[in-house]
Amino acid sequence: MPKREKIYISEEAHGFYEMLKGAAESLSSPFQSFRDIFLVAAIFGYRNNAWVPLRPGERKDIFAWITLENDKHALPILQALVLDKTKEPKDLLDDDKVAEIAEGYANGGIKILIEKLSNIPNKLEGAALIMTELLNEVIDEDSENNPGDQ
Amino acid sequence: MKILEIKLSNWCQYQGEHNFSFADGPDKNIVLIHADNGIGKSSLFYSIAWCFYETALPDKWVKNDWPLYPLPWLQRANEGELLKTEVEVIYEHGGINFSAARSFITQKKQNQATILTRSFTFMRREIDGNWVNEEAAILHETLPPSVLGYFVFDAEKIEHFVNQSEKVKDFVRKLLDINEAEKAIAHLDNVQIDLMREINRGLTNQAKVLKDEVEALDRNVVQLKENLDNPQNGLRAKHKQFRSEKDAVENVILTYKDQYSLIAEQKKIEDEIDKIRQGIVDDHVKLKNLTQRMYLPLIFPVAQRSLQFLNDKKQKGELPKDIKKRFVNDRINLKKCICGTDLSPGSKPFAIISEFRDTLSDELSDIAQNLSDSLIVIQEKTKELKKRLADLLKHLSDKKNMLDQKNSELRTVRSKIQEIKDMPDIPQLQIKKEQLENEIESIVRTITKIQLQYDEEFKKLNDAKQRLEKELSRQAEIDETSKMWQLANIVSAALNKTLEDYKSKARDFLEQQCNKTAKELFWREDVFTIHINEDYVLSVTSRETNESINLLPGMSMGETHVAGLSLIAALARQTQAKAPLIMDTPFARLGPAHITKALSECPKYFEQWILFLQPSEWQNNNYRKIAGRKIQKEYTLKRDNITGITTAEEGYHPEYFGKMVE
Repeated sequence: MPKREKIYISEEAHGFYEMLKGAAESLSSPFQSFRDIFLVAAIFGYRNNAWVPLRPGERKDIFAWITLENDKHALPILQALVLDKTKEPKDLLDDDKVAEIAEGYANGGIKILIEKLSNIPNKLEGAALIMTELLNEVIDEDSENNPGDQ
Repeated sequence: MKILEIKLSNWCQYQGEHNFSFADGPDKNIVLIHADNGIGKSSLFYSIAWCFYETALPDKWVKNDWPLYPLPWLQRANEGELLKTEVEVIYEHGGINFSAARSFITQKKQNQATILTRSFTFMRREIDGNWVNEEAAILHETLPPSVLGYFVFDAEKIEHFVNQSEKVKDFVRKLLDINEAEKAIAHLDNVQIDLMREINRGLTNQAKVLKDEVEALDRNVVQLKENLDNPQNGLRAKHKQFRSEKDAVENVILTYKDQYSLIAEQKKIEDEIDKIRQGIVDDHVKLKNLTQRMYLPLIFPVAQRSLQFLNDKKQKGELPKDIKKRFVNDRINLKKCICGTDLSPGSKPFAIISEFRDTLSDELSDIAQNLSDSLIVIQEKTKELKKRLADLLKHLSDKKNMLDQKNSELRTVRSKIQEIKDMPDIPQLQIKKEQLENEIESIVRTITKIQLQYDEEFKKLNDAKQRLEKELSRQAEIDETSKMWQLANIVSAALNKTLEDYKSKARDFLEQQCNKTAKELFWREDVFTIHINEDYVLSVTSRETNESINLLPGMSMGETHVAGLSLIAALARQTQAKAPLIMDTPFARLGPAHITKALSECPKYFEQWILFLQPSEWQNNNYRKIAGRKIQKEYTLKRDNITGITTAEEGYHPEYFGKMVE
């Protein structure tokens, strides 16, 4: 299967990505890279069942595929999304498939992420609070489901 | 000096106690001791000199070691027997009686005589008649040992006396105190030399050099003092000024101390705020490291489901086996399975394995494994993240609270500061105060240094002044010494002149007296003239012959004796020497005319004239007539032939002459 070279987002979303990343040394935004924003946006899109495929004319590359491979958890996260959606393990072999699904979810999820952080002046702390809530949620759920794992 | 008594005890021939008493009327001054030769006349004669001065014995006695104890005793004494020999001479001088006693103890040992002890005593008789010890120096003053020989002498020596000019010169000089005067002058000359040496030592420019040194040091000291104490720009004035300024600054700082403390507090709070803010920034950095992993909690449930799905698939065998496709291909190529089953193409195992191979996907297998591994890690990290995030948010919240609090404090302090009017720039004042303190420290160091220099120079100045003072004193002393030298010089010159005059006059006078005495003793009138030159050498000239010829060497013994007697008499008269004239065989060389004259005139010149006479010297009855009134005492010595002991009998006993007493 040919390797994917880039990850794409919509042109419209590009501004959001810029805003969420901020300047490199800035502490007002919670993310350091577009990849991290993409991952979160993809997961938000998946959680909210918001898969919006990119139309060919409106897509804009945001980072290189190899960026996913540089973080050992980034690709597996997208693969987990794909697996959970398609229930087909062999889809994991198809980078295009994985990218298409992830891009669709990210496209759908970016607006949710923006909305969540829009009213928070300090987006960094806001993101930390959201994370805290999420962490409490998932870990509490996990504890209830797997009491022996505490 | 007049001898009053002679006591002999075991002296020479005089074994036992023998007394010769001369004391008699004041107008009588002749004592006669008559004896034949060998009876003991000389022994008695020398006992007087020996008593006064032990060393005054004649040379032949000393040379032959003649015993001074009685020989008969030694012959008759028992072994170990002791004998005391003593001679005591009692004399009167200046109205006081003196006693000189000399003795020794002899012991007979193995037929030899051993002198055990010697002693000498000198005593004075007090008014109450008691004898008390006296200093022997009085004897020395009355009859010095140096002149003894000229008053106690063998008449045979007269010609030697007359002809031995050196001895005469020495004798006369002693009698006339010329030696003493010359000693005094010599001493004065030595004093002059010492003074001159002292003067020469002092003749330097030391005082001037020291003066210059003192002046230079004084200038240094004054300058250093000025540096220190000048009221305008001296170091101490500056020190005072700086201290004053520093005190003023300190006062201001102190005055605004409370207000300034607000500023310090403000600064402190601001610093704390900065620190907290920095802490918040650091926390935000840490927070960003965590928030960028926001996907972790988001993916957590998905990761769990995916992991579960994969495990189910694996268990159901719906996931590619964990056998590598490559490995199976290798076995197919080798045509043998690892269990040994033959995998030749066309065989059933080959078909099965090939079909199996086709179902394999290494990639999927790897992906599935990686996914599984990642999902497991994600689960773990999610839990860890929760704790870290909670801690960090708490930390951040605390800092924000603290920041709020500090800001509140800062506002309070600032409002108080704003109420302060005209507060000076305290930090600037503190800088100024520090600068002033540095200046003061520097000045104090300089003052200490200059003070040390000053103390040192002052000390040097004092030392130099002391040395100058000493030098000036020494100069003064030198001046004084110069004066003393000059005085000594004048005195010496005067003494020398006086002495020369005296010597000349004394010699002239002596010569006159000598001629006068000689004329009185015998001399033919105006025929012979005695001359005494500067060395006290006697010469005799006559008008009747060439007056430049000295007739003395050719004169008879009698005439020579007369010349000698004249000299001694003249000296006695001139020096008023108080010693008695004691002569042994005085008239042996003289004729009756001379003897008569001597008996008539000599007693006038001597306080006491003791004559030890041989019988031949007293055979003329005229002698007694002439001397009779003046004879103080007269003894005749006799000797016992059996015992060998000599005794004395008072009076004139010519019957003892020429025979031994039985």
